[in-house]
Amino acid sequence: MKRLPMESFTIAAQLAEIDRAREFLRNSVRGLALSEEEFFKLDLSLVEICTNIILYAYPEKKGEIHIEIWLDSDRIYLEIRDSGIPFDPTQAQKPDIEDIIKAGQKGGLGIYLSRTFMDGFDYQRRKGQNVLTLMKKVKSI
Amino acid sequence: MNFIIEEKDGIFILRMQGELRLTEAPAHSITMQKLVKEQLELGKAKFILDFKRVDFIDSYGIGDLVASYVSAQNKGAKLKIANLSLKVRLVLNYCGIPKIIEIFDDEESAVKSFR
Repeated sequence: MKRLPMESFTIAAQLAEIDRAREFLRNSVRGLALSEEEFFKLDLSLVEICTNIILYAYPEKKGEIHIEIWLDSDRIYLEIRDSGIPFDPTQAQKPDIEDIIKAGQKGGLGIYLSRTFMDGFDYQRRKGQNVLTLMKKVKSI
Repeated sequence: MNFIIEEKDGIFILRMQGELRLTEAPAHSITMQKLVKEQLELGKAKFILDFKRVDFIDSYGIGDLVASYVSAQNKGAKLKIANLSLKVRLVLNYCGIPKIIEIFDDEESAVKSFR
């Protein structure tokens, strides 16, 4: 069983910081034999969740996002925490693209994509924080 | 995100390059929808969005694409997509885009479909 030491990273909840979070992910999984598609799904999920937190969790536009990543056997875990408004993304409804078009909406797909691309999507409200744990099974580590 | 514009046989072709995502949006106020709407105002009715050099798209990018499509549709124009990478195709498929927008393997096929 291969294990990746848990690595932690914190960014300010600002759009310009997302690239740093992505770089942290890229560096953390370097050396693992992830397929391009597996990495892309992790990368996109991280972007979508961070974007959602930045846009909606902190109305005062000031806060942090904490990210932890670890590997356990054939599973990569990505925990994303914020201290913003309580929000459980596991309760978000699956959007319908035709409804989105009719309503003229521009958003609504981010959480769905992240949830769909992961094999585990677990939410807890813990010590005043939103704690979202994403899990991706990977084929060849 | 960089946009390259070309007109071929009366078709407005928008070639994109880079990552189509929200993080870059504030620095780049130009969007697909804005460019499509400008051409719609000029009376253009045929559009191809070429994704050949787009290697990342998030839900914001999908929103911009859908908004472009709706703008075209509202003016009676046609908008099609070409040259998707595997990653972009994956996202578009999960979002149900092929149900509403015609997708072609390459730009030439998309151009021919307008004839």
